[in-house]
Amino acid sequence: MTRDELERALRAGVDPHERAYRAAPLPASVEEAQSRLAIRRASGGGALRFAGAMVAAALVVVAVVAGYGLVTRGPESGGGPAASDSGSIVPTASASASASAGARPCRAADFAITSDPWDAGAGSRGTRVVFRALDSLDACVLGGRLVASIVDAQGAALVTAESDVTPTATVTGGAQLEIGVAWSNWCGASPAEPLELRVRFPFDASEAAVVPPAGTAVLVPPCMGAGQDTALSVTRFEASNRPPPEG
Amino acid sequence: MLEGLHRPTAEADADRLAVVDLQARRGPELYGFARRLGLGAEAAEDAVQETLLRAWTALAARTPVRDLDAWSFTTLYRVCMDQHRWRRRVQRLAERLRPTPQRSEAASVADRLTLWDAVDRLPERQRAVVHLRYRADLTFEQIGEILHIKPVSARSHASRALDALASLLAEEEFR
Repeated sequence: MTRDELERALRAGVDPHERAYRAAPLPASVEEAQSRLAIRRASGGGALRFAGAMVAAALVVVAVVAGYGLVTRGPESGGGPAASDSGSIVPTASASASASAGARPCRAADFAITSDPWDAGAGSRGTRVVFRALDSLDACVLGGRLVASIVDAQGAALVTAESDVTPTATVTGGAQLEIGVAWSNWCGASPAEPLELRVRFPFDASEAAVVPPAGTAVLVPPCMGAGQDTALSVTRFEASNRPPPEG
Repeated sequence: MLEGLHRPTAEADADRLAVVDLQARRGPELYGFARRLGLGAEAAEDAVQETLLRAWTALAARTPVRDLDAWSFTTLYRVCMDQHRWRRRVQRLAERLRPTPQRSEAASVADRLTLWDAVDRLPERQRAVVHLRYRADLTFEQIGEILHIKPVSARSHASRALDALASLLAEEEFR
């Protein structure tokens, strides 16, 4: 082939790669475009999501084996076991998959938030917080880091921390998730009680209070090392197998 | 007052239309470029989508974009390079956990070499230049900007790529 023939063939021929392109739907607004980009950045960009997807896939296996009943519904799921008749948490391998579902970032207001009574253990105090997606929730995308704070009765934050990174997942109404919160080493003056645990979702400016069960309270951890900072640790979101609340 | 309220909406509509138009005109070429840079099908779709979202937010932020088409190829190139960097890290981690089976090249060698197979065998820079020049129909100045090389280098890569393609296809004829 001469150079001219080659150039003509390259211009006129059908590139098999281009033929395979499937245009993903674009968001409805620039705000949605921005939040999708923010989710991608929070989860570390495209290839990190690849790693996240691997972790999420491992999570599915672990959850199923452990009998957690992580719901995997939808075309990517291959029809996994369902723990709930309503909600689902589908690990989302790519932002374009989320985009095609038309989902927006999850907000605290999308969930009914409850917690176990605060408990003591190994010098720390902690609880498990359960987030149940409202039945009316169509779908939202969860990922990145949640911010949690313990605030005193005057509203002053005693300690604030980010959770571990949650791999991107699409959540629908009725799905249930949990995080673990542990607070340790409080060496300051006795704080003004009652204390409150507050959480803020990624990409959501509003905070939500996690009210402990009636008759219980947020517990203050003992001082284990004066001169060392108090610490709050928060796990990433995991699927919850608890029975949904009655009523 | 009404005009003041309407203008942002009109501008927002115009931004969206520009991105919809970009997707319709350039989507396949952007996708082909991402594939040619070595991304898999899903990753390439993802990279194109990210490029379109970035284009939209740039337009909405009134970032000066002189040539949206060239800008989108430049952005896609960066996204692809970022993905490669991360992928290499993830792969290294995965390899530590489980050795990946080596791909057998016997099948692909046995296949008849088409023009596009030959393009995919070119070195990365030449592949990129060939795609941008002959598929995306960009000038060497635009290609230079996208790949951060001089236009004359872009021209030289294209020339060497054509020589290599001619040679690869000639070899194929004698097989």
